[in-house]
Amino acid sequence: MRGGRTAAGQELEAAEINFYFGANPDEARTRQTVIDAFQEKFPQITVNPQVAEGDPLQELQTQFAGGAGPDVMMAWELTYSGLATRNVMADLTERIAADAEFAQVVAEDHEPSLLDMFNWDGKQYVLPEQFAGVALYYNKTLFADAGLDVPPADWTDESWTWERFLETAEALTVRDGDRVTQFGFADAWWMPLSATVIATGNGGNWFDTYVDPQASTITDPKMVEGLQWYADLANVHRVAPNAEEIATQAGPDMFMGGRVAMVLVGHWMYPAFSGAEGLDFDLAVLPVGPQGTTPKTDLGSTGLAISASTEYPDHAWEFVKFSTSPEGQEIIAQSGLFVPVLKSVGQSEAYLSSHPAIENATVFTDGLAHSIPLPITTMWGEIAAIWDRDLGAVWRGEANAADVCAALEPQINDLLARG
Amino acid sequence: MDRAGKTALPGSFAPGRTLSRRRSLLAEMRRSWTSYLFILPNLIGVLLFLAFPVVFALYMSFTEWDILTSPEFVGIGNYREMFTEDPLFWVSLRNSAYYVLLTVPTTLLIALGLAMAMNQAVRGISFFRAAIYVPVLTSAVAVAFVWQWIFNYEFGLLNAFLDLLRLPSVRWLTSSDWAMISLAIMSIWKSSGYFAVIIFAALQSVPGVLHEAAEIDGASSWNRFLNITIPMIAPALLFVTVISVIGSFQVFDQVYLVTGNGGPGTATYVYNLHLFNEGFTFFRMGYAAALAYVLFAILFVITYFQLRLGRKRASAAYEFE
Repeated sequence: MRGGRTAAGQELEAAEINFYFGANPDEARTRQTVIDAFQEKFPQITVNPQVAEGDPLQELQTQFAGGAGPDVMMAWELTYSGLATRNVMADLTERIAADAEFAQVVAEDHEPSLLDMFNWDGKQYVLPEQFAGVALYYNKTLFADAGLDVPPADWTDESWTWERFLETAEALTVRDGDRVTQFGFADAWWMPLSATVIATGNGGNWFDTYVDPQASTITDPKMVEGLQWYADLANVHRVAPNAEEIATQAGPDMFMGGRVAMVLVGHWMYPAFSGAEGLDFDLAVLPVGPQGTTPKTDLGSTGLAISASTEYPDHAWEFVKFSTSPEGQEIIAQSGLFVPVLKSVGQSEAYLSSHPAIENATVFTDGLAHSIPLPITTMWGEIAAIWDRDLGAVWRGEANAADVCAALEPQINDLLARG
Repeated sequence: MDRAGKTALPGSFAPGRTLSRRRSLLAEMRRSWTSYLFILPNLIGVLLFLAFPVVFALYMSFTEWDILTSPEFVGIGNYREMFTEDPLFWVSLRNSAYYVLLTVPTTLLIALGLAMAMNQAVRGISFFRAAIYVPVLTSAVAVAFVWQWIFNYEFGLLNAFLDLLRLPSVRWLTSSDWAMISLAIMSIWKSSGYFAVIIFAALQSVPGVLHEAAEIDGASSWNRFLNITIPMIAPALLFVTVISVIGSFQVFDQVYLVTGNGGPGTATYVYNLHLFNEGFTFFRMGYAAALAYVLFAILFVITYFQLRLGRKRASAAYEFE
């Protein structure tokens, strides 16, 4: 696809741009293939990769405060609005409109809800790159040994209820006296968010609206039911590890060691799981709650943005366009780095062939149409802090979700009002 | 040449003669301008990286600033918010004070004991002196990592030890009752060596003649300890107390590395963690600067009273010349 990169693109003079992104070592390697492909097309542009070392938001904050921000940066759905509203990122709306062919891609090949998530205050600040929603990974060997049916890989399957999930998890939990030697399920993401995703699978909604919400709706009984059910897996039914047990061995490690049958996590653990010796696994959808309709996941995503203060906006734009166009997304799909966001690429051979360890790789690409957005608010830092802190009592079995949500809702509303 | 009885301590702790500085200061400066040239690089560093930020932070504390856009002047708004609208301010202050109460007296006692142990003329004592100091040199990250395993509920050393004694296992890091105590244990282990070395240096300069004379007069070793050793090392003890209070009140590393967010709940949510969150996670540098200045004021008052009370006792050491 040569489109808008003919005359205008090739006329650019030589330049070096900095590209800041977060990645584990596997992801960093595959990022490099995209960068290499881009540099083949635009030999006069050198892209310097900068991998995040700590918290990306803090690093970007200090870099931009010091006037040394990167030209192109990775942006996360939960935290980008804080930077966008402070004029750190450039508005891409006009650039998209100016390039007819690319505008068509954006209009037709993207999932609208994803684009909307990255549209703040009427301006498109970020172009999505990957779908990072979560799903269920399960250990095929453990299921076969227990003689159980594997969970479904179809997001429209209404039979994978919480009840069925709990029965399955109980059948897969092996106890040795008081101790559990094999768990049916473990959370491998971040409890506050995992529990919320499960609760949305019960038909609950976290906020009144997702982009720039004004009120929280966590006291909705469907939400409370979901949070409580998730915590009860560990504290009441004992099919999932509790706080102390997770401190000994985190969810992903348990899964790689064959100590747990099902985990909830996103695509980013695929490289590590497929590299684990003796682990035969596949993907399934999340369970649906009694008040829900069909299984749901979260509309997690990251994308690329351009710095508003960059010296080379045109060069940066070419790189962002390349990465988010079908050409760049094809490379991403082929390398297995991310789940691509463009519909045309998501169903392509490239994506399927880059996941040889599993048969149900489409669980992720199909999940895009069955996901609930995450809240986009400039107060995310504060909200996440109290969400994590107060819900911790529920995970540890010290408080119940109803009380905690009732106490939290006014606090979250206060924070939203401040933002 | 130091006379017997004087300990080698920072001059600020030794009550002494004051120079009649005013008259001769300028004259002195003119005479020794080369000396000033020698310290100029360091002085510039101190001005740029210490003095300027401290003064600028005072200005920052009167603004609402996210360091990405221009600061907005809010007067004493931050201070007012801190005292009236921020429950976490009081929570974190209480937690830091609790941490100080847990660590300072214990560290002092243990450091004193270690120093006495280091003061023995036994073969191989140099090994033990080094071993006592090693935790101080170990990286905080490594210490946090290993101690998280020691505190582990299922497989940790401490619970295994309690098991041996047929005592119930403790949820060291996951219960709000024990989390702060666990952090205190870890910090005491790490920093006792540092203070032990300081007290040890003081012990070494206690003149032996005093102990001999007391022994001849029939004083027991406990008596000698209480009436000779302690008064003679009092300046060092005062120094150790003041420094460890100031340091403990500002604890951050251990908490950030071990519990990350001050958990469980707000059990280990210390003052500097609150400051860090407000400044770097919530984009509120002005408020964080205000928190820093309140901490400074608190420590200033505490240190002032400590020095006033302590100097009277410490002066005994200087009477013996």
